[in-house]
Amino acid sequence: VKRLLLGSLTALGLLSTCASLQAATKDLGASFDRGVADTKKGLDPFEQSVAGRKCKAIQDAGLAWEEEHAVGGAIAVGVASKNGGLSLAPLGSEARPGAQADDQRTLYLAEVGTTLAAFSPRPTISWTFAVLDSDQVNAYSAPGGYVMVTRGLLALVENEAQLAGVLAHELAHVSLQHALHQYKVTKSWQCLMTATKDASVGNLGLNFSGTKLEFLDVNKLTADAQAKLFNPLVDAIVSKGFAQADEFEADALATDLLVSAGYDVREYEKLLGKLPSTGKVWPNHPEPAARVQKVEEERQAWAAFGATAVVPPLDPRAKFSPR
Amino acid sequence: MTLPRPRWLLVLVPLVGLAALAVQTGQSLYIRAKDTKLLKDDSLTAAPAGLLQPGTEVKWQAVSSRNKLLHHVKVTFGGQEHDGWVLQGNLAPRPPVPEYLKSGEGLAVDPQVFASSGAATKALDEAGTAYAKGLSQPDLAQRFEAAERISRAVDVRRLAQRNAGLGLASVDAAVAKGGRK
Repeated sequence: VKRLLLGSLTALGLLSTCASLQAATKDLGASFDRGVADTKKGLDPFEQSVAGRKCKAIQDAGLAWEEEHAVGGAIAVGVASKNGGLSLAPLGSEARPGAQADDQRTLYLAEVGTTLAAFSPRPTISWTFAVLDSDQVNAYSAPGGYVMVTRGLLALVENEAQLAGVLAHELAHVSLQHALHQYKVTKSWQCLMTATKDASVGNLGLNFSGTKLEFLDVNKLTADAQAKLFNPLVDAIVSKGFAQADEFEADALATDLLVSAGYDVREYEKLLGKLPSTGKVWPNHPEPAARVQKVEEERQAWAAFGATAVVPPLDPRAKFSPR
Repeated sequence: MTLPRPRWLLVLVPLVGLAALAVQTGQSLYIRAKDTKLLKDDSLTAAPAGLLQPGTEVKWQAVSSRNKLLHHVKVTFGGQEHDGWVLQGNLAPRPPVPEYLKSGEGLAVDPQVFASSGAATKALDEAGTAYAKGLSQPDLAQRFEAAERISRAVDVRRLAQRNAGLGLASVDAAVAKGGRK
């Protein structure tokens, strides 16, 4: 029951990012409030009916790639919109001044990212890498393999090993499906409200197809339903942070990926050490010093592996011309 | 000898609660590249004792003192435990996450089947395109399409050469996604 309540409280946190998650629950509406009340009374709202139990199973079931990709794409677009958009010419306007440099910068990110993704637990999904046109130092990821870094972050990293550390961390969030789980919790509540014919404001009227995965075709939602589903998630991403446990877990996997690919993990530790204290910005985020310590422990655990640890220079393609 | 692939349809690997991975003798690592050679000794020219497939669990033993790119592993197939040597670049630290397709009726699909299904290379969906309308950058969906096109255009063979030149692990064509070079 406790787990359910905690899961519910983060029900609308969706995108996996270093600057987000844990979200606004108010849009789930009255049904959600009743659900929490039932939970407090020791009643699991999902356990009150056969349909409810089926809906709860969504939280632990696999999610079809088609759905993950559609959801992740929308969330990535929303987050990019709040971070200056993409530093890349739209398809079809490659003749724009600077477009070639933007393309090459994106390609460089994709090369480093592809190297790391090959060692990840999700080597076969299509990863998409992009630069956000923002001077803030940040990076984001979204379900469906979307990984984005800001131009501010590219200006901060001193070498490719540091850049790889950031990309590996975001790859880890997607691989560990942190955000995807949050989406599934949200979806299970919507399923419950649909099953119980709850007409509260939090019920988006989603159509569950009835397949074993309860496939939800978000592409066919109305624009209003899409906005109601995605807006709170995007807003949460840009202002909140992942749970500390998720951040530490992503750092641990990032370390594993860096070691496997041959990058010197100590450069990632250096970069983390340069980040400002997160306390005032993202209350849920672990402090950089604590992250450095955990990454160092993970790196030392790999010592017997004897892998090479190189620090390639940052490719000139990553650099921006002065504005 | 080519080993059968892991039974993806029956065995789901949970990825929750992963603790720090201390790499020591007997630690589980996972084959990540298709047709990975299990070499009979720690020489790149040694004869293969078998070919291992992605997701196969191996027990790490030690790194070679002659060639640090080769690792001694133990792997069970055919009801017997076998010794051999595997290139570092073919070892992954974690098991692959099961992937699902809408047509899979809730069952995980083999990673190679998933990769070749084409689903993994699709462009931004209608939901993303529709959601992008009304956001601050009107052509954001088209910019994402450009980012996807560039990301899919990575030439894995050229990348392998680049990485080798930098001293990084090899990323060879064996791990390429469906349709990649």
